[in-house]
Amino acid sequence: MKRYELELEERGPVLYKGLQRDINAAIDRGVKHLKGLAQEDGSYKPHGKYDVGTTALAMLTLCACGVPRTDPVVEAGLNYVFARSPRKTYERAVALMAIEQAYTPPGESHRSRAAELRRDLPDNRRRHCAGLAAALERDAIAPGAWAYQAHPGGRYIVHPDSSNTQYAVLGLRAAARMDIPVKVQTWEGVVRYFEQVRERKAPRATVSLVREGAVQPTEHRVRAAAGYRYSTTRPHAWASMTSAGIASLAIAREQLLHKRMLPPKLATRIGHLILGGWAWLDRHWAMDRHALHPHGQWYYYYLYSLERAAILDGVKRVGDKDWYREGAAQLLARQKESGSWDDKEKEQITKTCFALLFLRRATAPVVLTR
Amino acid sequence: MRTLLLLALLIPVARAEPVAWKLPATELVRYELREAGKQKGRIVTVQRHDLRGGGQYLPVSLARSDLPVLFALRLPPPDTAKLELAVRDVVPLRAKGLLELRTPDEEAAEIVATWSFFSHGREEKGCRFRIRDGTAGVRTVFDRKQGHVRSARIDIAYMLRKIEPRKGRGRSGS
Repeated sequence: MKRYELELEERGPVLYKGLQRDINAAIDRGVKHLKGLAQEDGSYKPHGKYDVGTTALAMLTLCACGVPRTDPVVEAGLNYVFARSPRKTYERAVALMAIEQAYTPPGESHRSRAAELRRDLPDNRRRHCAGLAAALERDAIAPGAWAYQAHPGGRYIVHPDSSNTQYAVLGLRAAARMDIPVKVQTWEGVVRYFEQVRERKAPRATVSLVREGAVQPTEHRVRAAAGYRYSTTRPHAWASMTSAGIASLAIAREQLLHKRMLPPKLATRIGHLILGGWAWLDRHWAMDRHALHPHGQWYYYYLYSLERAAILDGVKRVGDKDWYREGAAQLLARQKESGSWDDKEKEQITKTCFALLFLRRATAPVVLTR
Repeated sequence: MRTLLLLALLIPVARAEPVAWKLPATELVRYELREAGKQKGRIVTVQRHDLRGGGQYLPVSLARSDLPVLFALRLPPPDTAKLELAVRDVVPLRAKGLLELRTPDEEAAEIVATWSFFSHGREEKGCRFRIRDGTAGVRTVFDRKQGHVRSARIDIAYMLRKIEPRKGRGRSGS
């Protein structure tokens, strides 16, 4: 027999006047803590075997939170990333995302047209990024589908999965924003991949979304409220993978549009796939946990996935649920005194980075004009 | 007797507010759940979307560690009705409860409930455990005016039986 005590700590609004001030303070404390975790050589203690990836994730976070590229910690971290050629999908992708973020001019408008994006990288650094993007495309198991890593011979050790695929898509989008060409077949492959990992059986549903810039919700009738699975071998979807599907499909749509290779039929198909994902998230909505994950892990990863999905598809609220304020309220409650989101050494860098990226709404919105 | 108690809980007397959550979408209730005798606990939050079971607490994706909170933050179903719960790793649970006491107070209601629960039905893919003889004794203080739970004490016990993975049929010769 176990005895538990449950005590009310507080009842508070998720929407209040000083919320943004509290979020800004939480970001400042988190950034200060994250900067303090840098090692002497500019790197960060690797999460698992992700040596370059962990440092790149920290750089992405710091730059997204407004730390300039000239800051000694960022400079050292970027040098560390540029000096290495990672082989893992996550690491290549996050390195591209970090570099693109670091070279984003301060104050760049989110409404900039794709052709107006300027990333003034030195030639050697641009070549490095082009190499990373080419390696990502080359090592895809099929166009638009990625696994952890290729064998030296180029054969994959596992099935492609939605998490690696999502990060590869984000990395290639960062490359495209640096004016590095990415093949049309890759973006078309992304759509095919997420059609394959979409749940097979799903009910009809109605989902109401409030888009950015709109006040009133728009109701959508959805033929299948289907989430996205981690891979074709998994029986059901969970929240982070569904968010990954929405974000990746929104990016594929954006990039195909830029290349003038988005026929109306494909655009409609992608629209249905994305709405099905939102309908799934609406049915299983949870901001205090990673809904339907088989082990309940990766909560902070899920929040950052949801942030990307919502920003890339321009969604402000799902029904009456304000994803940002609800997630921010959870994160404010969970931040430790140190400024981190986990005091244990093993996962504090990744958890802190994901929390900060969520709070900062770090993902650049979709640009629908070339 | 049981029916009378239930009616007493559901039909407010002496102008007392009913025992029902009043939680707008823009509010969050935060609790700390501690194992008795331990200093540090974990955060539990309730938002309106967690009130799924007919306006009662039912978050998605339940784990075994959520069971004390679940029983503390909701009323047992009326009379002989049973609550079906999908819990991660566990063969689906069937739970029923009995309300034993209600303190008539305009400000707060003290609810004492006894729950029993057990795994019911066949194991599905991914289920690693079966729960037997589960009981939970809960004493909850519900703030009628504010429309949320103030505090709760939960005694929970159950037998957890690991499900042996089924052996696949061996290949038969050629």
